[in-house]
Amino acid sequence: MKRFLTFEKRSAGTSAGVFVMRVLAIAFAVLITALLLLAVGKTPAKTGSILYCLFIQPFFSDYGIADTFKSAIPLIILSIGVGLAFKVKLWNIGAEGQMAVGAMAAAAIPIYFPNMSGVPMILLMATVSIVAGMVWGAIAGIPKAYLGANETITTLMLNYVALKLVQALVLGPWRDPNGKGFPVAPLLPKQGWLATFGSSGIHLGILLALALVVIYWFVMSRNRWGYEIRVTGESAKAAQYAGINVKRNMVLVLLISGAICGLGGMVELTGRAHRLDANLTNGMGFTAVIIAWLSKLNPFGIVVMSLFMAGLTNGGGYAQTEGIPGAIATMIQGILLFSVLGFDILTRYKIYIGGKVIDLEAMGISVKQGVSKLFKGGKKHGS
Amino acid sequence: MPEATVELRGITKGFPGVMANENVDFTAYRGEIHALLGENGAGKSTLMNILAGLYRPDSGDILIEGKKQDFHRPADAISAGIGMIHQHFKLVDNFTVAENVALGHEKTGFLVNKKKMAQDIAAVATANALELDMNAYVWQLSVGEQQRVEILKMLYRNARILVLDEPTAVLTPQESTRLFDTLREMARNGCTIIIITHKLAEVCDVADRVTVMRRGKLSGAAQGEEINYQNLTSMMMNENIKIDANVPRGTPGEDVLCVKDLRVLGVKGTVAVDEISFSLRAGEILGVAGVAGNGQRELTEAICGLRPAEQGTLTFNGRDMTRESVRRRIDEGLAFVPEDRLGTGLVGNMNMADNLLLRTYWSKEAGKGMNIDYSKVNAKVDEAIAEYDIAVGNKKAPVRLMSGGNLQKVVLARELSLEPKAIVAAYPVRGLDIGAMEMIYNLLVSERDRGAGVLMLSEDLDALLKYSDRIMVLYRGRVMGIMDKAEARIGRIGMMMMGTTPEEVAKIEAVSHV
Repeated sequence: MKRFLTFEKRSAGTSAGVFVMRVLAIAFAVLITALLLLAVGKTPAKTGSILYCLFIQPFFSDYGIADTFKSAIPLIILSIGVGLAFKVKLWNIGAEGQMAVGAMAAAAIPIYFPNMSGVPMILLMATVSIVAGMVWGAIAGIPKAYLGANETITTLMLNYVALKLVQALVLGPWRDPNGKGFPVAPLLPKQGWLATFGSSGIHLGILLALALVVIYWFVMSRNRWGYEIRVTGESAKAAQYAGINVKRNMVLVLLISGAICGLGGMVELTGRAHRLDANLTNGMGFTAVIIAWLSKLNPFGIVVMSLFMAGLTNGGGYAQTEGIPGAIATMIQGILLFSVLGFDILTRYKIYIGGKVIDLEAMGISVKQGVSKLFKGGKKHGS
Repeated sequence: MPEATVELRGITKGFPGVMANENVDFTAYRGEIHALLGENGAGKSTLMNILAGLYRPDSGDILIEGKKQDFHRPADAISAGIGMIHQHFKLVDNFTVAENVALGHEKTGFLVNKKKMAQDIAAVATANALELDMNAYVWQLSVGEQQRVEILKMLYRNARILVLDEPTAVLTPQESTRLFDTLREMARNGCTIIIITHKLAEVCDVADRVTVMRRGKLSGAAQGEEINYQNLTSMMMNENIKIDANVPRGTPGEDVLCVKDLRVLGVKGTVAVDEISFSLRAGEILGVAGVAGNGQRELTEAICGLRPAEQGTLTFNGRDMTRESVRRRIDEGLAFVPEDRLGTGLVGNMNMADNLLLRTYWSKEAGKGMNIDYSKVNAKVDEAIAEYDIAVGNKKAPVRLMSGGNLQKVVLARELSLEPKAIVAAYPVRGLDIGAMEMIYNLLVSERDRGAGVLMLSEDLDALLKYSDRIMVLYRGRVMGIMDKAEARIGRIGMMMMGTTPEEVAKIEAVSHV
């Protein structure tokens, strides 16, 4: 009757518990990665430098930090976009496609109006990218609200439509004649580039991303419509009881979600890529889904998780210079995500192993107490 | 001396912030019906969930038939002979009775011998006076029959100790009587029956022994002669609550709500409310009786705008409201206390302030322009806490952590703050303790006296008789009859709940009087 391993449900984890869980998860992933690298025959020294590339360089070196911020900008925007949809339990996994059509629409402006000056051109590009993203959201949202079409499927499939559309354009009418045979659109004229801060490469898009974070937070905590969104996400029955038009909000949320993701495409195009090609989105729309999920839809959590994921992706790139294949870098990211999700269980269950209990909350609390003791001790010393 | 089959010794179980059970001892014997009595939140369900292997106690021992047990999972408890029947049945609608009973406990090999299985199960049923058609599908059964299937399921798994959580909550008086006959028969056959309840009348009728809990601790026990209303109440409440049997009648005025030929479809597209007509007057409580699932939910939802009317009209304050939005109905003064408090009436993961906003968030009182002014809302939270005596640990905590009575007070605080002209209250005291019940009923009575019309659904016929000015009985989506308080009797209502027309009721009564 007695089992070696038993899980017992517990009440929701505390923030201290979640913090300890995240730290343990990262430590565990680093350990597994190290073992994996040793197993494929890397020397301990080489393993060390690869781990440095993966986990230290993106977050602690000057160049790495700037690069991480640059990569995080589109992720923050997209995560806010999908996070809004997730808040009402609409599983918009079409950020990739919405971003692609946004970038595509924006790229059309300099192709057809090459002589516009900077500010009007950028504003127009932003506008058309928003509209394009909205249209992509609407194609999924309207059938969802009025016919019950599953938005997970429709948004997913629309990704491929969008990506193939971009591909068709860069292979055909928009192909850069000076592109040395690559299927890419022409480079944007300089006036269509977002300004950067010094030589860091961090562009104005970061202000837009942070503004979206603050707006999202404000709407969700103070605004009447944000209140409707929160209620609808918690319980459709309660929303109906509260007199909320659930269907209208479904459409609206997918429109806005699509618009934000479309804008994200424009920001990436004008801020970093500077030309349209079929790889511009590079899976960021899917990464955004993971970020929104891991940050539990908290806007400030989204900023932290975006930086983390951006750093990891870049770290994988750096590690390739140490001679590991790109596929291994991607695999290591996978290990880390699984580890984070796996450790999440520890905040929701007490685990008994052979009669011993692992209780994360207790650990979290003792860590917290230890830290605050240290802190208090330090204060006393100082006064 | 009969053999003790269940012995719980010094059971302690804490949840974050609450001690659900504190050093509780509990003993039940073979062949008895044992009632575990207590208010809601007294810790009865926690204690029985520990016995059924759903929770592990922090400390304390469980002895079953004299042997010490350590349950890790419900399956462990089942194999020790304990069967728990929860309030919400766990049956598969599209399976037959026999299939449901066998599910997860097929005693055959790889292939299932359906015929033999049904025979075995039927034998267990007959031995325990459980009358059931083994080949009927669960969706064809009444609630009482479904409960019998649950009992049979446990007996087929060789349960010798049967725990029933609030078994009569969903039954008619006749079905309850029948259930208790069955339970008595099973006790005679050597089972130990434990019922969790807060209905005193039921306990006085059927229990051989009673254990009373209050605030997680044992507060008393009684057997035989000691089992009486006065005794049990004082053990439950520790103060003699005056039970006032006489509620003065209201003074009805004009019709506030007129329902005419209303037809409403249920979830599955079947007709749930079938051409119902009635009117609710200002200053009266119109009680609605009926076995659960006879159109009550659909009726209340249609009145409040949550479900469209297929046919017929709803007039509110003399205005046609049949097609109006929920918001419009609220603004016109229609309050709704829905059946499911958490999930419809309240959002469990939101705090009290957000829940008080639920049906008023668009109003001027809630803020200016597009935004909500939480300083105003928080002031309302404090007012509500004071006015309705709401016990709340942390005002910012999600409301799902509050007890049932306090949750219902939050719903009422919100709905009554609108000074409604009519209130639809669906099972407003379901699952509440006596203290909270009294308070909720009194609030509804004072709303009536203020001049509101109250449509009150309840499964507690005593309370309906006590508080209503008129009583309407629903059966299969139709009105079986509407009676004045003066002519209403439990037996009459019970018969009408089973589909007997008032004329037939009169005939039956005439015969039995002679």
